[in-house]
Amino acid sequence: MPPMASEPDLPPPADLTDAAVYAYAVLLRNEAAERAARELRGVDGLPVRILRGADTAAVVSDVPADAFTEEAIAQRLDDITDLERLARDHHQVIAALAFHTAVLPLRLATVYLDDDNLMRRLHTDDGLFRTTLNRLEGHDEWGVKIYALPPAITPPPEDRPRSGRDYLRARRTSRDGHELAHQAAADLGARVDRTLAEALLVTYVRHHRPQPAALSANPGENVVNAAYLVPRQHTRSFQDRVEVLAAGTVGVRLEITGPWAPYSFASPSLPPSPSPEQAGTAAPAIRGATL
Amino acid sequence: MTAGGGPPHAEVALVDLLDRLLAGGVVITGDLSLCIADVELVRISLRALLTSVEGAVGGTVEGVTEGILT
Repeated sequence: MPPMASEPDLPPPADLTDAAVYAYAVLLRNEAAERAARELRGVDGLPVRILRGADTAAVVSDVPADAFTEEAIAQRLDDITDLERLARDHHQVIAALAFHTAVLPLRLATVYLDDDNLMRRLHTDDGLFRTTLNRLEGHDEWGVKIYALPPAITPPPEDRPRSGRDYLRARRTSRDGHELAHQAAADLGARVDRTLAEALLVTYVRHHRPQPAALSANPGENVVNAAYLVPRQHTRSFQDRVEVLAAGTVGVRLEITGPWAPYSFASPSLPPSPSPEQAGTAAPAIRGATL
Repeated sequence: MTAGGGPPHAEVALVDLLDRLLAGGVVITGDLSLCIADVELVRISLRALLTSVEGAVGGTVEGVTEGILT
């Protein structure tokens, strides 16, 4: 492979007079990743290039400015096809880079006026970016989603309840079943947090909002939607522990997703690593679900 | 994808991806022309997502988006 460092990056296309710079991620300067980035296509199929700072580099695409105004983005996000395309284009770049090196993903649709503005930011935050990237190095994000399964439906003897009292009783039974399953899922989530923290298998945990039932392809209500930052050497142990805990719990379904680039842990101001005592209590989001 | 082999999971669920793209990632301030840190944009995207499945499941989209954003 010829040395790439001497090869100049492509300048923004000349016809894009009204161009803006779409930024995907920041990474520590890394030849393999920079080489990989040049092969990638980003948002709207546009080429990807590297903008180098002293120690860090930004991965960007030149985009037409009028396609990335707030109004234009709001329109894209309001259309499922456009939303999905944008999200997947963005993700594809980051996932490919994460294969080579630690990446700091930027929020979807982070658009700069020009290279100079972005370079200034890269320079100003260089220390912060480096610290965060060093923390993420050698880690993957994994998702754990826990669902409360609907209680088994026991049909009334007839087509529908015969009296008001039967109806109320059936409703109450069903509601109690839902509450038990919901509680079992929440408890399992806390147990997973605690177990992983005690075994030192995860560095950080973050709880996302439970996903709406309408968006799940499978039965059950999403109660816990957690993300863990897992040192790569613990990947297998992490999965095994989680699966063993899930197997021992009735009335729930658990899904593991990943590995992800560390989207959920990109904030430079993360709280300190969870101690075993804290794990499982720092999850206000799991209380957000309603039955 | 890259020559050295891509990430193991090429196709991820959109809903899982959006959890991360809209609530994760670094939000940088200053000198930006655009950054989605605005809950309105998150709400819009969730509405699109839910509208896409609404036909199949019934129910109102607004109710659900309100629920998950509060």
